[in-house]
Amino acid sequence: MTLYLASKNPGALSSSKKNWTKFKSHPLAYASIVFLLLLGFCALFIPILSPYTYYDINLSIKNQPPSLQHWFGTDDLGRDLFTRTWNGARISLFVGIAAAAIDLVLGMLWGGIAALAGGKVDEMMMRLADILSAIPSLLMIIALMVVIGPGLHTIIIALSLFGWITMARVVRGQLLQIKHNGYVIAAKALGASFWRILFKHLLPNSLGPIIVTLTLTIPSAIFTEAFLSYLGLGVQAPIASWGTMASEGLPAMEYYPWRLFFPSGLICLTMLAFNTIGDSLSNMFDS
Amino acid sequence: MALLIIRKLFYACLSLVVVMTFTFLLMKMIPGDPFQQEQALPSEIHQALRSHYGLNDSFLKQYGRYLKQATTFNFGSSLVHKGQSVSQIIRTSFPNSALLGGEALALSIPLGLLFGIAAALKPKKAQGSLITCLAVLGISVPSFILATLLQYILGIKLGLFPIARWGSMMHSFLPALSLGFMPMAFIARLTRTKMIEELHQGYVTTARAKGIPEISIIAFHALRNILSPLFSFLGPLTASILTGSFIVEKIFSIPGLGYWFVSSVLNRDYPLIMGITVFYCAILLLTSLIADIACLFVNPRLTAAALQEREKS
Amino acid sequence: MRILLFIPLIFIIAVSLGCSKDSTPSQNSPSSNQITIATSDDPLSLDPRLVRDLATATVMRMLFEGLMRTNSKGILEPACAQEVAISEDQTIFTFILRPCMWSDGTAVTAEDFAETWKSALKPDFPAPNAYQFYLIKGAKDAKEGRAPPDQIGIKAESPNTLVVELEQPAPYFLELVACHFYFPVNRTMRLSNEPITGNIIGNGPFKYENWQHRHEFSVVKNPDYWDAKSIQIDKIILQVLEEHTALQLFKIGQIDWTGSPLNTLPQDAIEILKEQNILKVAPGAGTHWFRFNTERLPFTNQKMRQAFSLALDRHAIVEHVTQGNQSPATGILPPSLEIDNQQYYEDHDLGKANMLFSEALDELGFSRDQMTPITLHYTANDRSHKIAQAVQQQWNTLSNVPITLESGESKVTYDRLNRKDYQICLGSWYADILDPINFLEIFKDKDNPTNQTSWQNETYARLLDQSSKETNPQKRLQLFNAAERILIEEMPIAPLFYASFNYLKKESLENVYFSPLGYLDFKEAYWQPHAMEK
Repeated sequence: MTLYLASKNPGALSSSKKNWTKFKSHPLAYASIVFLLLLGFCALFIPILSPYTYYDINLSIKNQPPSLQHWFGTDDLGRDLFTRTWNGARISLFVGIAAAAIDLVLGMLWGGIAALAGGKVDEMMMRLADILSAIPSLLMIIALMVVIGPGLHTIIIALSLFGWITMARVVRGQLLQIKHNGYVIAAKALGASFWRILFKHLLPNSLGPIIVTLTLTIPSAIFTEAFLSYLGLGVQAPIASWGTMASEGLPAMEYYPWRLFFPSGLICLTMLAFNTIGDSLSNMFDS
Repeated sequence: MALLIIRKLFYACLSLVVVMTFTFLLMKMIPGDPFQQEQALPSEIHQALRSHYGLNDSFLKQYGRYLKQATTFNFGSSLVHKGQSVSQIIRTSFPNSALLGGEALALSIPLGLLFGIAAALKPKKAQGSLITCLAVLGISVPSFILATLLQYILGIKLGLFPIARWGSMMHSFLPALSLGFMPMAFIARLTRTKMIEELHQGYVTTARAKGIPEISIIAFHALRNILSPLFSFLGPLTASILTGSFIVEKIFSIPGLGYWFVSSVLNRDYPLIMGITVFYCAILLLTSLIADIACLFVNPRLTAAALQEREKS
Repeated sequence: MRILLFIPLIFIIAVSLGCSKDSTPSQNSPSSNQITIATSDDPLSLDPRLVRDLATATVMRMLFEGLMRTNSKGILEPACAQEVAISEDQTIFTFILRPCMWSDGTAVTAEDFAETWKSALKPDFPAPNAYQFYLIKGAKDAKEGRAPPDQIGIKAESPNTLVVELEQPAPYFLELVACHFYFPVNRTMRLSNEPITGNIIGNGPFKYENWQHRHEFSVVKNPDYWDAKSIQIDKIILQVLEEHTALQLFKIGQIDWTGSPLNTLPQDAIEILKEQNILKVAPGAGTHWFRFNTERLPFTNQKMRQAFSLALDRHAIVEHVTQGNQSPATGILPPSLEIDNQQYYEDHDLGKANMLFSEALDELGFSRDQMTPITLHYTANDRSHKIAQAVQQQWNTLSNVPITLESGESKVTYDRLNRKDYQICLGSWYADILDPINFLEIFKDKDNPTNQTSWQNETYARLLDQSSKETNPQKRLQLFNAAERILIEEMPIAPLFYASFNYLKKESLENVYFSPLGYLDFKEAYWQPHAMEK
C-alpha cells in the first residue's frame, strides 16, 4: 500500500494520517462505507434468516405488490422478492467485484507496460487488444460455455476476457500523456527500473481515470451477466442476480413496477456508494 | 509521419487476418449449424443442405474460401435469410446504425465534456455533486432500462416522440439518447476527474496570474491534456456505437446492424458472421487509427516523443 | 479548440440527414382497407421451396397459391385446381387446373407445378422440405440420386392436367398439397440462378409491393388473381417490431394485429390482456412435452418415466405460468386434430406418482439417496425459464428427488438432443398437416431425427404402418388410438400442454383464418365497416 502513496510531488510523501482524516471528514464517503457494509451484511445473512427461500414457488400469490408478508412483493412465480433480492446481491456483488478486480489488474498491467515501453511493444500490445475486441464476443462466450460448462466461474472468465480492454486503453492513454513529465524523466535519469517507474510513479498518478473506469466496469459486468443469463449462458435458474431480476422485471414494469424497482434501485445505490468511495480515495492521493 | 501510418495500416491488415482466423475456429468449434432446429430434418436432407452450402468441405478449404471472400468483401448469401446477400445486409443496416451512433456521439461527447468541466469547476458545491450523481446513475442504469423508461415516459405516456421504428429525426432522438447516455456519463466523469487535476497544475495558476480568461485556460490548455485518455477510450467506443447497440435497436425496432451481430451468431449463419466480423474489425481498426493519430496531433509532446522513438528504433 | 468545433458540425449534419429521411408512418383505419401486422423478423425467403418457418409460411400464402387450400371455415377446398379426381386405391390424384394467372400475365400451367416439385427433388437443390414429397412415387430415389427425375410420379399431361402417383395410399395427401412447400414457382424464377428477392412473380391473392429489409414488407391485392373479386383487403403491411413495442403500438391503434403467429406477446402481459378481455386465443395443432432419454438412467425404467409424468401439475402450469388458455395434455394428440381425446391418467396424481417412483427405484436397484441430480435441459426463453422452474418444484414432490436446471442457447440444446446427451428435455412439436400420423410417426423409429428419445416399439410401428394402408377413416382412427395408447403407456415423452396461439387483433377485422397449423390466410378477410374502434 505504501507504493500508492506517491503523489504529484514525488519525494514528499504525505502522511497517511493526514489523508485518512481528510477521507473521514467527507461525510458521504463515510456513509458509503457504512452502506456497503450493511449491504454485505444483508447479502450474507438475510437469505439465511428469512422465513422464505429464494426458490420456493407459490403460484397462487404471484405478482403481489409489497406488503407486510412480502416486503418487496412477489415475482411472477410467487417467490418472495426480498429474499431473492438479497440472494441476488451475493451473485451480483461477487460477479461485479471479481470482474472489476481482474479488469483492474490486467488492464493496469497491459496498459501500463504498453505505454511505458512505447514503440513496437506498444503497437503490438494495442493491436492485440484491438484483435480481441474485434472477435465477436458472443461467439467466444458460447464457445467458453460449451467447453467449460455453465456456471458462475464461466461468467467471470467470460466477463474478464473482454472487460480489461477498456481499462488498458484508458490507462495507456493517461500514461502516454504523463510519461513525459519532469519527474518521470528525472527518475529515469536516476536509473530507476522499468517496474519501479511504472508502479511508483506512473500508475499512482493515474488513479483518477482508473477509478472512474472501474466504476464503469462493475455495473457493466452485472448487466452483461444478466444478458448472458437471458440467452442461457449464465447462472442457472432459479438463482438470479440483480441484473437478471432487473431484466425480468423490465417487461412487467407497467403492471408490476416493484419487480424492476428494487433490483435496479439497489444497483444504483451500490454504484453511488462505490463511486463516492472511489472519489474520496482519488482525492486522498491527489493532493 | 507517412511511414508511421503505413506501418499502422500493415498491422491493421495483419490483425484482420488474425481476427478472421479466430472467428473461423470459434465458429467451427461451437455446436449447431444454420439448419438445425428442434423440428429436425431427415439426416440425408440435412447433410445435403450442409454439402450444398459448403459446410461439409474440409476446414482448410472453408477457411481459404472465407479469406478469398474477404479480399473482395463478397461473402455470398446469408444461410438463414435466404435471398439476402451478406453485403446487402450490411449495406442496408449499417447506415441506420451509423446514423444512430453518430447522433449518440454528437450528443454524448460535447455534453459529456461540458458537464465534466462544469462539475470540475465547482466540485464541492451543488453543481459538482449533482452532476457527479447523475453521471453515476448514467453508468449504473444500463441502456436497456433507460431505453424502456424513456420509451415509456416520453413516448407512450407523454407522446412527445414516436414510440419506435425509424424514418425521421424524431424517431432517432430517444434511441440516440439511450445509447449516448452512458458514454456521456463516463466522459463527464473522466473529464471531471482529469480537469480537477489539471486545474491544480502550475501552469494554470500562472495563466490565471497573467490574467488569461478562465474559458481560454480551459479550452486551450487544460482540455488538451485530458484528451489523451479520452481518445483512447473513444476509438473503440465509436466503433461499437456505430455498429449498433443490439439492445437499443431491438427496443426501438430499428433496422440496424446490431441485430445482425447477435442473431448471426445465434443462428450460426456463418457467412454473415464472417462478413460482419470483418466489417466491424475494419471499422474498429480505422477508428483506433484515427484516435491514435488524433492523440498525437493533440499533444505535440507525444508527437515529438513518438518521432524520437521511431528514429531510435 | 478546432476539434471541439467539429462535433456540433457532426451533430448538424446528422440532424439534416435525419430530416431528409422523413417518412410518414403508414395510415390505417378501417376505411382504408389495409392491415398492418407486427412481425418479429423479415420473411426468410421468397421462394416457397426454401421456406421452413411459420412466419414466412404466412407470407407465402399471400404471394402464392397451391392446388388446394383451407378456407376460413377450416375446410380443404380446391384452389388453383378446379377439381381433383382420386383413383379407387387412393394412389393416383388427377388435378384439373382452373384458368389462373401469374402476376406477370402468363398462365399458371400444370407444368409449373410439376417442374417446381421436381426441382425441389433434384439432389443438389437445397430444399429443406424435400422429404414432404417422399409420398410420391420415385421421389425419394430421385432426391437421393438413385433414379432420374423422369421416374418421379408427377406428370403434366396437358397444360391444365396434373397427375400424381403415390407410393402407397395416403389419405392426407391433399392436406400436404395445400402446404406451402407444394406451391408453384414461376418459370422465370425457376430458371434463374439468382436468389429470389424482391419483385417476385406469384399467383396468390396478393402481390409483392415493397420491402425495406428488417423494417417493412408490403403486399397489395392482386387484380390478376382468379378470385380477385372475393378479396376485400387492398394492402397488407408487415412491420418488424419487438414484442413490447408491438403491444404498445397496438394499444394506440397503429397496428391491427400483434402476437402469434408472426410475433409473440410479452409473457408478463398475457394475464392483464386476458383480464381486459382483449386477448384472443386460437387452438394450435401442437403439443409441448418433456422428452425422456430412455437410454440413460433413471429413465431407462418405464415406471420412473410414468412417475415423473404423473407428478406434473399441468393445470397449475397452464393457469399460472403460460396463462394463454392452453389445455393440459395427458395424451399426445391435440384437440385441434378433432379426434376424441382420451383421458389416459389423472393430472397431478401424486399418490400414484410416488408409488410408481418407489417401484421404479426398486426395479432399478438403488435407493433415493443414491440418486444423482437429474438435469432438465431446455432452450432459454421467457416462458421456458418459468415452466422449468415451476416443474422443478413439482418434481421435488417425488421424495425430494434433486433436479438441476440447465438452460442452453438454442442451437447448443438442439445439438444435445441430437447427440442424445440429456436426461429430460423440454420440447414441442407443431404439426405440418392436420393428421395424427404427423405426430405419431415421430416415434416410429428410434433413429427418426425428431424422436431423440431412443424409444421405439414394434407394435406401435406396425400399427402406424397399417394405418398408412387403411382407407377407411374410422378404422384408421382406431389404429391411431391404439398406437397412442402404447405411446402413453410407455411414456418416452411426458405431455405437458396443447398449444394455443395468443394474439391481439382489432375487433372490426373479420374473417382472418388462423390455421391450427400456425399460419394466417387473408383471402377472405375484411373490415367490418359499422363497428367503431374505441
